[in-house]
Amino acid sequence: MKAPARQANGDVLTARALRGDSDAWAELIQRNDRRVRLALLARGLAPEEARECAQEAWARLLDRERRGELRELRLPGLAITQAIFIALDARRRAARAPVLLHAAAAELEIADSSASAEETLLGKRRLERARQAVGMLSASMQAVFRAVFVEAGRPSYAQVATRLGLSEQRVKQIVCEIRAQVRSALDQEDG
Amino acid sequence: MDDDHLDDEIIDAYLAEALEDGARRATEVHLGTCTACLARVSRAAETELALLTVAAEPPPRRTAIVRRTVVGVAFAMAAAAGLAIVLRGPASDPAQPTPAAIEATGSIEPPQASDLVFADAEEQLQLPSSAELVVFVPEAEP
Repeated sequence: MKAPARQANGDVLTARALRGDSDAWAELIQRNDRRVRLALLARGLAPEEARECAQEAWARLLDRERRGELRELRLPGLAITQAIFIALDARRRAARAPVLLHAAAAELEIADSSASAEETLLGKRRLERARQAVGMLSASMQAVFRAVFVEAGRPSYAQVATRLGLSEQRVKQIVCEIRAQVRSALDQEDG
Repeated sequence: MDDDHLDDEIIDAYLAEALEDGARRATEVHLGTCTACLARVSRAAETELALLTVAAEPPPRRTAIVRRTVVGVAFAMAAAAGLAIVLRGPASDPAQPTPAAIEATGSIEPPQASDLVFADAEEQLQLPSSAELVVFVPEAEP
């Protein structure tokens, strides 16, 4: 049970981070930064802008923790929310049209603490469809999904191929199929 | 690149952070000027985020099975304890403790709700409606 173990470890890390442990912060950032940047890219930001907003978000969270203003730390949701506010602010200052940021809606929805930032970004129904799509993958695809997306350490396709007794090309092919199925699930119409 | 646009494979590798530094930089330079590819990256990033979000969730199915097993075992133990009380004879026997006394002294402890539920409330709500709980109840002596 990799995920619960990782979650428990995450809880310990979070508690340490809230007590000002810089090593814990470094580990949490390393674990969650990719999802923060992906969330920003998904909202239409260019890579450089996404990277800067993510870095600024982490810096602000650290600052808030040092000033004793951080009571809880739900990641990556809090960092995503912070990063999106930073991106919105930057767009306003630059007087640029918020291309895909949907400023007002994003601010209102993401401020809703009852939903995770990812859920808000992806939409609960769409995320549920993604869950179902993953749940319906064949056994061999599930094995690749777990190895590539779930397990810590982010093994290369070559490492996954060796472990599962597949060719690297086959692993790549299966990952493409997984992405296509989840994409298709996300694209389905609501209702 | 195909017709001056990024291949899907490059986009996937970029989002998976699997590109070498040179290829990553070239991809980002291209994305700085090509809105069509940036829109494709945005779409692919959403898919990747969905995959990582689902991957980060604990597997609910297995949790439910484990919980059912623990609850079933706990109920079976409780039922066995009840059977032991029945086999000890009538409660009026002054040499034997009554079931109430057993419960009060804790010599045979009934399962507490807090012992049976170890998942958080959110997980409990995710229990499939078809979850079955098998409880072994000893039949009363004639």
